[in-house]
Amino acid sequence: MGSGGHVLLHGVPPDGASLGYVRARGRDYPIQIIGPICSPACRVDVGAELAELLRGSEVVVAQRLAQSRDVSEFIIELAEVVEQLPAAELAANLPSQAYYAHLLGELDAIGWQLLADVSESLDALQLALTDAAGRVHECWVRLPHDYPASAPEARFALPLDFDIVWPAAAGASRFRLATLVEQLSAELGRHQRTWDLLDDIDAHTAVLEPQAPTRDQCSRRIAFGRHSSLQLRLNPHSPDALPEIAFFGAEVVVAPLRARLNERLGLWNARRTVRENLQEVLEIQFPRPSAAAAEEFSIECGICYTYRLEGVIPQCACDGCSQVFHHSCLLEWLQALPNCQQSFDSVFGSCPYCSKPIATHLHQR
Amino acid sequence: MSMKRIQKELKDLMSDPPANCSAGPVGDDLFHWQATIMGPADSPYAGGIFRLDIHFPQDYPFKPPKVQFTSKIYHCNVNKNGAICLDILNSQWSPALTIAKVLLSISSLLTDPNADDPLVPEIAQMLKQNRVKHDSVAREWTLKYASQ
Repeated sequence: MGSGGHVLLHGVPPDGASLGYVRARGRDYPIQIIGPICSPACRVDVGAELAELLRGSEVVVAQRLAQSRDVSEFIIELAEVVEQLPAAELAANLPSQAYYAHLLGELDAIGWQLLADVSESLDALQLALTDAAGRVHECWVRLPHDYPASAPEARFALPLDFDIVWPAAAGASRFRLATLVEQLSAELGRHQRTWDLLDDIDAHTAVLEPQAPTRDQCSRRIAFGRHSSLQLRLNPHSPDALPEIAFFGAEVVVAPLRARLNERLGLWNARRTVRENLQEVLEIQFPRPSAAAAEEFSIECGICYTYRLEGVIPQCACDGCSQVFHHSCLLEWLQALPNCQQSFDSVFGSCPYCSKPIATHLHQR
Repeated sequence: MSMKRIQKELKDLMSDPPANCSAGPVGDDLFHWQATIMGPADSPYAGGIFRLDIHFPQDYPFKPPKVQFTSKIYHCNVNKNGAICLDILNSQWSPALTIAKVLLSISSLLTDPNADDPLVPEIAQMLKQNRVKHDSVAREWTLKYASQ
């Protein structure tokens, strides 16, 4: 509602007062408009914080209110007034001087070299932690304005859920950045093997998915031949164990591999990397990594010629020629065929490439 | 979806153009292309440059592209409006085909006219009964209508 995303109206209570928010300067301020907007009796209640900001601008606000034809128009006007206030009047929104003094001390303690980026008002930090193997991990920290009285909020990419455990004792030293860095570094240490194994896969195979893996992603889709790939997911609790594996591709190619995996599982050796184990057990060599992996391994859909269609990747493969298709593309093609047959949830027809029989489900699984 | 596919076909055509053919969009409309086919050397159309008009349907590649000659041609499978009688442009269309493959098929249709399934029966009859005369008319038309 309204232009520029200024307005978040909350609905109109029965007594004729409109409750809503004005979005300005990156914040939402609650406001209440009492009485019909066009009448002289109409008042606006902006709440203590916004009232403080608008001190001295009351006349302007009253004028805008009188000129507005409806609530949303007024809210847009009000957002504009707030946007145009000189920056000094927003000082009330910035953390106190004590906050900054404290923060500088904290940064001295953890070491400034960890600080990768910082927001303009110094209430959001980006820390860069280096692990034992030299991998850099980013951690985003948002500090509340009453810091260090309440806890900072931290975000990081880890394979397992992880929460900072703050010491129970109250006081100024409770929520220290040093505590955060210490606990996070220890947690990073726990996942070294997982990342070593994933890095090994990323460096030596053609990974189709994810395109730019983050440190919390433990699954990889690896191409091993034309139209065929396997998806594996490491278990971050025991990364060296046999991962979850699913094969994609024509049954003729994939079925023997599935059988080989079952037969030769005994050869899995936790001292080798997951990639080496897979090559040994499946008796395949993964092709070298390449930037255009998806294209090179012809895993794009034979109908729409794309790999990712609305986020979906090609999952149907022809048993005759191994060509892969998106479920939606294949279904649309098969259903348009004059000799298309349907039985329960299956649709039968012929492959657009090799004319051999091909079937898919009516509904994607 | 058809947009992406057409863009990909265009990219492939640019990087690996088929012999004796060229094709590309007219202006900004990716769904409307123009193409040229050079008359095959072993045919009476040799020396001619034939222009074609291509319209991609919105549901391409589920439906075939609409391809027709804009240059006049004396051929039993092409009528005076330029419409082409070719199975892959109708019932035998498959998403496995591309514009490049269609143009190559049309090019081989120039070399080997299909007199058993003609669009212009008179020309087919001439082809069957008097190949020499058929070829000389075809050469004449090529010189007249398809030479730059």
